Amino acid sequence: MNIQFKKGVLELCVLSMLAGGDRYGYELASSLSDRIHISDGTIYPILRRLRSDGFVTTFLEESSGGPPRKYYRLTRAGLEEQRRLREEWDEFAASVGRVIAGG
Amino acid sequence: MRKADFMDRLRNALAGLPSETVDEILADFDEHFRVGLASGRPEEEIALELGIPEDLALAYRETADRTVPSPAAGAGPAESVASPHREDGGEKAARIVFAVLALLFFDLVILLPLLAVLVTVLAVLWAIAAVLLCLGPALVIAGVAFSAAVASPGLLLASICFGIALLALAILGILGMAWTTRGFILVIRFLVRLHIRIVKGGSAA
Repeated sequence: MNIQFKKGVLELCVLSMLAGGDRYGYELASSLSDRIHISDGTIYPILRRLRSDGFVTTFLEESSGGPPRKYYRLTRAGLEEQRRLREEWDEFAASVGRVIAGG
Repeated sequence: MRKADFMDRLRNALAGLPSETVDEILADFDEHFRVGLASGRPEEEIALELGIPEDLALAYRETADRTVPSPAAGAGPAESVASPHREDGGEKAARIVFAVLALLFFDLVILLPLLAVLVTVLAVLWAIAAVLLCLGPALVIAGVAFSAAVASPGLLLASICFGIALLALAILGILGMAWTTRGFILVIRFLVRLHIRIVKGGSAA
């Protein structure tokens, strides 16, 4: 599969998880790699890119009995990007579905 | 692999990026290890599941390429980022050429014939709908004119009913076609965007 395409899909996954609330890196990495076969580390370069594109912001928060954690929060632009990517994905998935069904 | 080995390999593979960037990246992985250890996972397992440090570094470099130079970074670090990448200029060009060739092949062999067939089918269906649209009223008018000449009310009724039925069918067909054509345009728009992204992505990677 095209590497750019896969990256775009993972970006959509991360943005979608953040649409449900602020999360820290480890949380995002493990919940994504539990469901999609990728290594845990893959998510960190993506998070960094999303931040440099202005789609997420970060802040530190103390955790109960541990060092502070870096949380990621979706920005307004990030939410718009999530909607745009999702629309693109839905269109694509629907087209592929029709092709597979023999349409 | 232990945490220290992972961090060392990652640091080495990131060499050439601005030092603040490297520190930030390493801090993220340090946090990942700390959280993982706190939840009771062994160091080696965490390192293994993070993936290969050199692969991760490559992903960061691609981002750095795309976003050079950040306003915070001065001219010095920006130059040091750019210099190691001059060397893969040829490789980069080869990748772009490959992406474009692969795309061209896919387009010519699969996409183009498929689109040609689809366009033909759409055009034929539109033509049929248009003919029906004209035929309906024409039949009504002809029926009215003809039955007046031969004074046959049965023929008049039949031609009006049949004409209206044809017209309704045509309108239904046009609605269906408008919907289908809109879907077709959406697919084309998606394909165009995909092409732009693949070619651009090939040049950014």
